[in-house]
Amino acid sequence: MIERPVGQRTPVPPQLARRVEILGVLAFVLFAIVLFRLWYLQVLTGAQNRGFANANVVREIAIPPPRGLILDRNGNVLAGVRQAAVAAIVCSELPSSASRRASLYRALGAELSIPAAQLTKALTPCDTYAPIVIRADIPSAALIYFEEHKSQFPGLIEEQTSVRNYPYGTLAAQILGYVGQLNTDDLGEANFKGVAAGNIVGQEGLEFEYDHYLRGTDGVQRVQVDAAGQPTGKALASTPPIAGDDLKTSLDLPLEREGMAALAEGMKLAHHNGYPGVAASFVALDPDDGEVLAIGSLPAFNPNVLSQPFISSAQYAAQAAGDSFIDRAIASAYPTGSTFKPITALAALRAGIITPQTRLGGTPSDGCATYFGQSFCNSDDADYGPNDLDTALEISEDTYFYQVGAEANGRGDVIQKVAKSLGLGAPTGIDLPGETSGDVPDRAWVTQQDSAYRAEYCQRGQHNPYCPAGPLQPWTIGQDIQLATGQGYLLATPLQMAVAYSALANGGKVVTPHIGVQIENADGDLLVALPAPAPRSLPTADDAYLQSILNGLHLASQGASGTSDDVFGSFPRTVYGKTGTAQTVTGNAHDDQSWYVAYAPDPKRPIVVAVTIEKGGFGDQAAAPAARLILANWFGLPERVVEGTSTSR
Amino acid sequence: MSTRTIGSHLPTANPARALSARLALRFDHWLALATVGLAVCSLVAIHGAAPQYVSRQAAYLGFGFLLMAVMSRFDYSRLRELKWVIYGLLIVTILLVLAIGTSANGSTRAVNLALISFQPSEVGKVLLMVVLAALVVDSSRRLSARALTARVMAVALLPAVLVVAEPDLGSGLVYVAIAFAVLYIASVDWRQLAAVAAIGVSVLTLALVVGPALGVHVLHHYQEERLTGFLHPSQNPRSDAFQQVESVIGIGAGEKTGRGADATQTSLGLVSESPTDFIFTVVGERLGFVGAAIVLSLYALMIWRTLRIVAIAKNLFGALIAAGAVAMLMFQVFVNVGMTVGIMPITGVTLPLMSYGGSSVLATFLTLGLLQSIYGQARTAAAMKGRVLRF
Repeated sequence: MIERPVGQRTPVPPQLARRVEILGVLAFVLFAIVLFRLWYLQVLTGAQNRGFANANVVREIAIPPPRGLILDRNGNVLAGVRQAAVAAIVCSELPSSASRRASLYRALGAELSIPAAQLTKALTPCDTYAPIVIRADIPSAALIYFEEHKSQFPGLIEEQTSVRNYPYGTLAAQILGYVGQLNTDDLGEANFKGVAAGNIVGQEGLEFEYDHYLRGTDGVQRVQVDAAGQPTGKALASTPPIAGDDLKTSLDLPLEREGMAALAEGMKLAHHNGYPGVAASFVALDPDDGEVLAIGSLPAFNPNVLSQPFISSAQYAAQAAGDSFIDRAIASAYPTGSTFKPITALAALRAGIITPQTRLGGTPSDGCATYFGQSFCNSDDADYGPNDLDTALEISEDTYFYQVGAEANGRGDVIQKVAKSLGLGAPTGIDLPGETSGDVPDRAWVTQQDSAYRAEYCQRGQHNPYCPAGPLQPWTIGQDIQLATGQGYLLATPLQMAVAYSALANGGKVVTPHIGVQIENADGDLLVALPAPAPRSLPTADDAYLQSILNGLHLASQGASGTSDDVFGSFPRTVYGKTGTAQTVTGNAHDDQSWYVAYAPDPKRPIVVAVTIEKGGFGDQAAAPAARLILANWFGLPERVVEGTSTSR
Repeated sequence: MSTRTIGSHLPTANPARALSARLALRFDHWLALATVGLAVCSLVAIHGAAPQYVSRQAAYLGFGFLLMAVMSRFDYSRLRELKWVIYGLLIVTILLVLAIGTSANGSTRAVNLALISFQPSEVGKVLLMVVLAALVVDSSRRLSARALTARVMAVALLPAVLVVAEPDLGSGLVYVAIAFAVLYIASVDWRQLAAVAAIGVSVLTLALVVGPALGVHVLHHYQEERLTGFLHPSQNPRSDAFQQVESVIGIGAGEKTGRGADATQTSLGLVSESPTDFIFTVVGERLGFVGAAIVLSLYALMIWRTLRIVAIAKNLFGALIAAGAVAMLMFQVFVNVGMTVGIMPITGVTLPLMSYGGSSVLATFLTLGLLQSIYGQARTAAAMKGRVLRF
């Protein structure tokens, strides 16, 4: 280090020079240490440290993508997006004192009609960088108020955001579903794999079923913050969100609207006839391929309200009134009443119990048949005498089918097998969540039900008259007689009945009903096809039987003595339909389930419609007129309410 | 031209040539180059970390250069006889701070003058190196080696303890380092130096390890934490240890060529004292390994030239002052840079010339002025004896 002078030396003692040299060596060593340390930090681990430094000051804010649209078969928007003025909270700008925050939430809640407690809960802790949306569609009065009292609302911002929009409100509400934040309870759900809590996801219906395609991909906004976590305002590279893909469905918007109106009409007719008519649902299928043309359930909620960031418990209660969240077309199983008779007929024909010409159902003049001392009667105890299959279906002669049921009892579960092969007793596999399977009761079913009953109610020490056997066993002939007319323990959904009638109509193909047709991009280009599973086929030997049954169904709707001829006799197209008036467990006539299931052939657009009205009374009086409205709409005919008067079941 | 100027005795026929020779030759170009270079680096770094301080720092540096120029023309030997006056000034100003000083960050180090606040502990470093050098020169013949060592240490420890009480631990440690260097260059026996070092280590051990363990806190808690914090980094952003962790990350993030204006650690408050104690972090982050190496090279140049001045000084007094300067520079550079790269404790020592702050800058320039004076007189003396110095 020390440059020795050349020539003569300076007058310093040699010891001093020596010590200076030592000091120089020390300095050299220290410089070497520091340089090596710098080399290590900046060159060897520089990239890693750069990463740490960036992580210190870069906060990533997810940008929610616009959700994909749900379209009907012609591209009409059933669930769309719209721009809305939303109120949001920026956490970093909230007052730090808890009491000032509390009074802010009270003031905000009052202006935006959100309970302060809900706000407080949602904003505690408030530690995200992304603004938290608290209200879409700020009322204009509140907007003005906020504008005039800006300083009183620290942290409140108004921004334009795309929000889910259901242009037709309650239309197909349960089928479309709604959207909301993914809560932590649902995080583990397979449907939402990889989605962070708080993201907007589909909550029910198609929104839930096809969420994976509809939700899109979050964008990332990168924000630079300082050591205190305050944004510096410096713009960093951001990744824009990728909008969700669109779901094209098989639904037909006009038919869907008419279907909902028809349900309301059917309920109105029920009220008119003195029945409660509390709820209703319908399904319209293309019988050939199982495409759902329209499906609906009343009462319905408004998904626009449910998709709000916050709704008060009163708002929620108003939306949920009448169990409106239940999609009764797929999630409610009812006794089917006489709409089951064609199924019984197919079973009887196949089992050889009857031929189409076999005349059954004669009674000793009082309209009732007696089996083992128990009396089974026609509706209003009418005596129709013995009839062949066509007439029995036309007039819905109960005694004919009682006799078939009694015959079937000796041959095992013949009716049940056919019912199950037509799709009853199991979910149809429709692409909607929450489908129920219904019940097709047979010997094994009662045994299983009873064992479940015993496990629950026949513990030691419990005194129960049904123990030890259980309340349902043994399987008796009476249960087969009940089943033959769609009563007893039989339960089926409107969708299952529509699938079963589709099989009768299409030559024995049991289709899987489905709504989703394809996932497409904004230009309508196919991205993912959503094919339904291939249908199951009934034995070809059934073809002749099906034709016989269709004859009977045609007479039932449009024959001179048909149970729904007063509704469909004047209908200008061929209809194969069957009324149903099912007694419910209460046995109270006011609780009768009103049914109508019909097939209308067409070379290009055939349709099967199932309509049912809870506590709606006779099938001909409430459900059949509703079914007629739906068919009329589908075929572009005048939509006329034609009241039925038949009190046949 | 004053006849009292040493240069006037040069055996030169032409006074004009004598003047030009004095101005042209009698200062160390290399030391001046390092000084200018570091001053420029200081402005560049402060411009990056806290642009609002650039003009003030430029003013301090400008005044510093003036001060250095004046000091370099001043006969340092005349300070020898003033040693007790200087020492009195040192003690009084430090006491003044303790009595009426203004505090910053819980520490009272400065006296507010009309326009600027002034930290006597910084200038005290220069005063102390002059006093100790004079003490050794004046007493070495009269006292035994051991008594001299004891006296030098005693004279240094009084102001050191006082500034530690401000509390300004860093300056106190610099005082001790200066005393040690003066004794070392004064050719004090190795055994005595070892004994002094051993006592120093023992005192530190007592203060940092044994005392706290027994519940006796000689230093403030935060000082203990700073001194030991680099051994166990903290995640508390308010703690000094966190500052050090962020400083290490910031320097590392500079990689080879620096992040320039994209620097975040030193510009977004993660390293909060970036214009002052952590100015080297700014260099490391913004200018990378290249910038840090340039700054270190300038310090190496400065320390090398100072060591050279120790070696060529015309008398022991000059050599010992230069020794004190070497101690001050080396201690501050390595402790400060070591702190920013995470291998030394946090002691609140500034980086000479680089750190923002008038007192530190002026103290450094005073020192550099003395060094230039010692150099110039060494050249003159050598010339008078007909010797030629290569540098």
